[in-house]
Amino acid sequence: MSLRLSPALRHLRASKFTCNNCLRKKHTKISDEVHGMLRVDHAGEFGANRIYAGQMAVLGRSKSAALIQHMWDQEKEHKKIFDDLMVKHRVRPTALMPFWHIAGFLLGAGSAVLGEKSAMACTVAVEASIVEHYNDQLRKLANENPEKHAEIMAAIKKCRDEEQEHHDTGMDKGAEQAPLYKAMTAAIKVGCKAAIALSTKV
Amino acid sequence: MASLIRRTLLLRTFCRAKRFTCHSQYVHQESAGAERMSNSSKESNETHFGFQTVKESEKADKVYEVFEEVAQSYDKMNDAMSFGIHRLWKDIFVDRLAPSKPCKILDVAGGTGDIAFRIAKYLRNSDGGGITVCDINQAMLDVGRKRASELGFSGMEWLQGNAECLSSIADNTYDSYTIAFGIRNVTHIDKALKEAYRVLKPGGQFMCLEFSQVQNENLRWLYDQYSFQAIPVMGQLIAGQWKAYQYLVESIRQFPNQEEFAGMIERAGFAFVRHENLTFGVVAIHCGHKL
Amino acid sequence: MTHPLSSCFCSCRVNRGGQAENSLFSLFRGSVHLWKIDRMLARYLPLLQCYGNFMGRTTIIARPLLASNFSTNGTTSQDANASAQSEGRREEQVSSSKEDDVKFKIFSAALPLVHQLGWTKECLEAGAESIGFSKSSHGIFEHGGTSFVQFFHRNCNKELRKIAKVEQIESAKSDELTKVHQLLEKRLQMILPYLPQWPQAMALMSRPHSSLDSYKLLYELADDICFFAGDRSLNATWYTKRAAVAGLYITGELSLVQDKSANCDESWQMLARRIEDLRKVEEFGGSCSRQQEILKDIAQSSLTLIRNLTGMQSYQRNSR
Repeated sequence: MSLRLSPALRHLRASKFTCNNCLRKKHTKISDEVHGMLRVDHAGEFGANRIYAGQMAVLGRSKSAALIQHMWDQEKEHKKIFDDLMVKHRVRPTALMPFWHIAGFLLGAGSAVLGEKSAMACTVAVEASIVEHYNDQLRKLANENPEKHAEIMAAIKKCRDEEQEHHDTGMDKGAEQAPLYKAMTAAIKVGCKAAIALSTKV
Repeated sequence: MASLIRRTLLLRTFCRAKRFTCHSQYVHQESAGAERMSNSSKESNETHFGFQTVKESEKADKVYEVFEEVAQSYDKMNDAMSFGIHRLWKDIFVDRLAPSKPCKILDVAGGTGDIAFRIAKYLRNSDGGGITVCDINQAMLDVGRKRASELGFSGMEWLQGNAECLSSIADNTYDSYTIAFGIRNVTHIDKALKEAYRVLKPGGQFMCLEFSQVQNENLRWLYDQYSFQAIPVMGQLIAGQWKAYQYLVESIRQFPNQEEFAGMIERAGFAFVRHENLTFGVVAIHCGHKL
Repeated sequence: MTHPLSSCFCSCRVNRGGQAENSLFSLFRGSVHLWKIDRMLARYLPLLQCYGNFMGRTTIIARPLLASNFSTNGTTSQDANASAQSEGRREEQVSSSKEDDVKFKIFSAALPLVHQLGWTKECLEAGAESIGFSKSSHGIFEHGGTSFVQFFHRNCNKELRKIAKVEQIESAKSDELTKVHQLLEKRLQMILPYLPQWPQAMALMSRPHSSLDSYKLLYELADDICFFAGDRSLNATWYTKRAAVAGLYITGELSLVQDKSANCDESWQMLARRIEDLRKVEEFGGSCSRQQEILKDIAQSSLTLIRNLTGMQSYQRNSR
């Protein structure tokens, strides 16, 4: 005799045996969270690189070209920092890299096509999201174990400070005068939040 | 039929008088059962008996009385209260134990023999040899012995004893120690766990099936409503015992939750301690090994 | 860690060249076999096994095998400390406690008995009894034979990491694919002593409720092999390389199980041929990336043309 429950009732599952040793080994859970943080930061810097590449592809001969190139170079450094951390801690990169490769470029190019001020508005929106995200991560790491995560926190702080500079530069260059500034920044911020949530897990 | 109607009418009057307000009695989040018990015992030699506070010396007798009253209708009530799901829980429990012949198994608080018979069937053992059923309550053992003879398990041993002090059992005797829906009735759970550790052989397995805490809050509300509103009523209707089943549901709330009980098992010396929830945490199987 | 998909391959024939012939029909037949094995186990295990439905089951998601793009540049320079620290991540999770020692002792005592008793609970019981523990110690391995096999895999993966460090494979001069080949061979050799009973192990790891653990172990192995072979990629090739290594391992395992040649020579030759195939794919990928550069130039030129046609180029010139 075999008892078969309907698929609807199959969700009535007991959890697997929870080993108390696993409950006590909280350091492994912390490590997985840090892995997720590094993964999303790496994906974020990669995306930022692609955004600037898209902007340069359109505005490469404009008067903002030098400024965009400078910011792009800084983003390349950030990506290098996170590349090294990812390899050191053997963190899996996000599976959505091909998607961010295209989406980042399209976002940068799309905003640049609307004009220099739109490009700056895009930069401001993205950098604002990234700064907020980095601050959240720093808080979490500081609460857990600042000594253990000192290297990662230093890297995130450096990147956060430079992203804040990019944000301020963008504002100085007239981002707020871009057409549909509020709508564009709101949409980009929502997109960034979704990208962060996805890249942490996937 | 007339007696049933009379009982129902009496019950309605009784319920209105009682006016159950269950929310204040729920002690889920505050059930630091172990700490409360040990604190109370340290301070004034008192412990809980359901939601009442009684002296430690009295608890064992009170529990004895409860089970003496319910012994005859114990199995029937189990079926009614859990809609037969207790059979699944016990089947899963024995499946997790996975005993094999030849082995010596001690089933504590196993009065009516539910677990022991299942183990015997799992072993395809025709006479139940190697299985010892221990219970503090002779009435429960008598019911079990009677059922065993009906089922043909003549090789089982029936031992009256207290889980806190199994003095008649030598050290390192048994391969497995099981206790199903019994450990919450013990006055000093830590002593029972230490005794379990003592009587097991090195590598021996301790398995406990007990009511625990429902994890999901919405389901917990439903479960509490059912426990406090329906179970004592069913106890009165089917077994004629209101207080015994009120004690049952109250004692469940007083018992430590999954993690706390697992901690107690570890402090008794067991290793590889783990637990598994069944039916969203209504019951949990805890398991540990003596090294 | 047998991939559930591997049971689909069980129905494939191995031709004289040692190559496994795959077909959609075999895939379908394999899936039916997998379903049948699961139903059979559910029926003939103790009655209570069917209450697993009350517990819920994990779902199987079969991953396709992908071609990879291994680099031939040799190991990039990452400091030895970095690799040691990153290695420590996995080691941290296995603390050397008394419990782990006991578990390892029982496992070691039970392993020689696999030839008589198979990957079963009875084998664990016999192993435990031989070192003075009670039969009930089998409960330390929660799911009996399945946990036994998983522990074996975990142990082999750990041994492979040790071998890779001792032989300094990471810093060797050879290319990535050669190192992958070396490590795969070493890993597959670990199952040789248990080859007659290995189909049983594969069946246990293919069961639905152990498939998640099987995937994790396979992922760990593939990740370790790629890391010690010198892979430091951080893009989509990270996934394709690991998928390729996992596929190679599964193919090697299946081939060994069916191999009747002396010293399993046919399987080792098959593995070498698969590595050569991957080398060719990698060369093809290299030539594709050169084509990509040309395509990029074409795209940029098209963009400039569009800008000129729409007048945006002149607008930008005037606005400067």
